[in-house]
Formats: sequence, C-alpha cells, structure tokens
Amino acid sequence: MKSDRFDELMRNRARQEKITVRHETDLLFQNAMKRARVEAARQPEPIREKSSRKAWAIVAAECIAAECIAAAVLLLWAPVCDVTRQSAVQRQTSHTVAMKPVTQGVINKSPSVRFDMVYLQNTVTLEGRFENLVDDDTWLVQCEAMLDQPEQMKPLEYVIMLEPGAECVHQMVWENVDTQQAKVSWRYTAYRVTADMLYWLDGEVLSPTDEDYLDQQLLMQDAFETQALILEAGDWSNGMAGPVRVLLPDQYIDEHAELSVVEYCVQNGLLEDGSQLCSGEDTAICTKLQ
Amino acid sequence: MERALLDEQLWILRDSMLRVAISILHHRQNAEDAVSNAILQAYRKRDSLRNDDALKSWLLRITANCCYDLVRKDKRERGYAEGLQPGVQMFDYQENTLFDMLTRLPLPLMQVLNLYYYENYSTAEIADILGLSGATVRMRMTRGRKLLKQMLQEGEEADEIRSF
Repeated sequence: MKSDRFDELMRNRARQEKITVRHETDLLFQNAMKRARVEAARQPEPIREKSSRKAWAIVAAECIAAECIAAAVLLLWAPVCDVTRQSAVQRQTSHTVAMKPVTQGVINKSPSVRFDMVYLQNTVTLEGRFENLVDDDTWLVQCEAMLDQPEQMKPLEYVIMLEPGAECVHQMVWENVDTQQAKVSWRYTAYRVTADMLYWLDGEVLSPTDEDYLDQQLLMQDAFETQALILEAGDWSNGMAGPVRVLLPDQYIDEHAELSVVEYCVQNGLLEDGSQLCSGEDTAICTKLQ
Repeated sequence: MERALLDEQLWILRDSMLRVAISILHHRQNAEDAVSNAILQAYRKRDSLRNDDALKSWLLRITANCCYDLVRKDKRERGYAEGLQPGVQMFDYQENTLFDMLTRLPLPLMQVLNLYYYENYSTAEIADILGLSGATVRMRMTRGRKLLKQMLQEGEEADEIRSF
C-alpha cells in the first residue's frame, strides 16, 4: 500500500528528529507539577455520594440551561425575522430556519444553518451560514435555491461539508436581475457521513475525452467497492468546511439515473439522512437597494 | 496510580502532551495553560486510572479535553479566530523537519498526523484521544497525507517520495 510506505517513512523521520521542549516551557511545566502535587496533598479523597450529587446538580443545571436556550430562541427568533424583513439595511432578511432543536431539555447534536438575503443594485445574494459546532461527526448539507421560480428548484451540484467544529459562509448569487423585487426560495437537508472511509479524488474530475479518464474511473470504482465515500476536494479557505462534490463512478450513475448521487449514497449506507435534525425551507422577497 | 510514578511519567511525556496541546490550540500561552490544567487533572483523577499501561493515552486524552475547554472558553470570550496565533515557540526544532511541516498544516490535520507519526497511535486510538469519530480521523489522515506529500514534493526531497 502506498500510504503504508509513506507513513512508515514519516514515522522513521519522526523517530530521528530531535525536538526539545524549551527551557522556559520546562520551568512552567515543573511549576505546574509542583502546584499539582501541593493541591493533591491537600485534596481529600473523593466521596462517591458527593460526586453523585454533583453529577445530578450538573444534569439539573444543564436541563435548566437548555430550557433557557429554548426560551431565548422562541423569544428572539420571530422579532428578528420580522424586523429585518421590514428594515432597509443592507442585510434585508434574516432567517434562522434551523435553530438547534431542543427536545426534552437536551440540545440535539446537529449542524445549524442560517440564510440571509440581500438585493443590491442588480445582484441578488443568498448567504448561507453553516456550523457544525456541537457534533463529533462530519455532515454534508445539500442546498437548493431558485430565483423567482421555486417550482424549478433543484439541488446544487455540490454539498457543503462540515467537519466537527467547522463553520463556513457560502453565497449563491444571481446577477443582472432587473426587477424591483426579487423572490428567492431555498431548501436544505443535512446528511451525516457514516462511511468508514473517505476517498478524496486527486485532482479534477476527468471527462471521458480526457487522457487518464479510465484510470480515474477505476480508482473511483475501487474506492466505491470498499464502501468509501468519494469526494472531490474543494477549494476551501479555512480547510475544514466548504462546498465539495460527492462523486460516484460514471458506471453507477448511468445504472441508477433515477437517483441522485446523494440518494444513492444514503441507500448504500455511506450517508445517513439527517433531515429530522437539520432541514428547512423558506422563501423571501426583497426590494432592490441602489 | 502511585504519585511518584505519575511524576516520572508526566516528565517523560511532557513533550507529547505539549505537542497535542499545540496541535489543537496553536497558541503558546493557551497550550501551556492547557497542559498545566491537564497536570492538575491527572493528579486529581489518578485513582481512576486502573491500567497503568494506558497512562499515555489517558494523559493525552486529558490534555485534549483541557484544550477543548480552553477553545470553548476562548470562543465565548473572544471568538476562536482571534484567539489563534501562529507560532510553536515552545519547542526547539529545525526547519524542514516533519514537525516543522506539520505546524504549517491546518490544525485539525496536524492533530491527527502528530499522534499518528510521533506517538504511533492507530486511527482508532487517535479517535478516542481526540474525541472524534473514526471516519473523521481517517479523512483527516487522508487529507493531511496529501498536503504533506505536496509539501515534500515542493521541497528538496522529491526523490525520496517520488515513488508515492
């Protein structure tokens, strides 16, 4: 395996490298150890009953905090939406259509999505803010948006990938719009990545007329047969979140034309439908700002 | 666990703990704070460690958790992006070493590659230490390797890695 050979080489390098902790950091480290020893000497042995009580106190506090968050969400959500829809500031609409749902005092682990829209001069911009700050899994968010004709909405070719702890902003832009008002409809659904392996395509996706097309298809086929989710690396500014295309070998796409790539991946257990936790749709109308 | 043994092992493993902290925080002072907190936690919780053989991964997990606590705190107070600062000035190391290259990778990639190459952990063990899913660790490994190969190819070591 090529990766195994590379890893072996890197581990050998790591073993040979001399990395030493600087003296001043070592002094801090020694001080921390001294403080810890002093504290440990003072600290009585933990009493199980107390720990248990503390744990219950934490659970209760968490439940109260979650209830407070839910109340705050309910109080803040509607006015923000209304006020911003009526105001003539640059950010004309503010839709928080996927607040983290709160169920029985527990905040569900899922990404959150928020859309803002602005119609400035002849350009309509729909800006999505995507966050995955509370879940340890990687998520893909599939979006679709359409100007003026919501019935023609279809998913974008790419999805927004969100690794744990990642967030990003992504814009969809319509230029040369020439009406006084613009109506944009959008919809999104999140999918949890459940594939054990991810295969990142090396380079661009080739078309059948390209020289190495067949080699690339064979690599993708190998990856697919080992139950890997195949992804085309995106050009991301922050490295861990952004638009990326989910891919399948062309042969599978031809054989399953009735399914989208994402649907096919869900059927094959590479992705899990997370629409119960994170999905939404909305429409907004904005008046042109000069 | 005996206090003396913990003392000895903390000293031996201090560079591993610092490397984990810097790979998560990339901020000298925060990393030092996180390791100091991890030392305190290790002393407080030492009785909960049943198997001394698992000491290293236990310490690294505590270190990672202390780092995540600081990230959360930092994010609440200042915003994570502002809290990040370049520089890994806690260590003396030469340019163009593997460690030097790892410090130039995005932080999440550095985290997993550091544990994989320097600490010889498996992806499952790394997932456990960092509190991530196995799929996430493997994905970061794949992307980290790719970037590392690019860096090596752009450097003077093309011959060494040409076969990869």
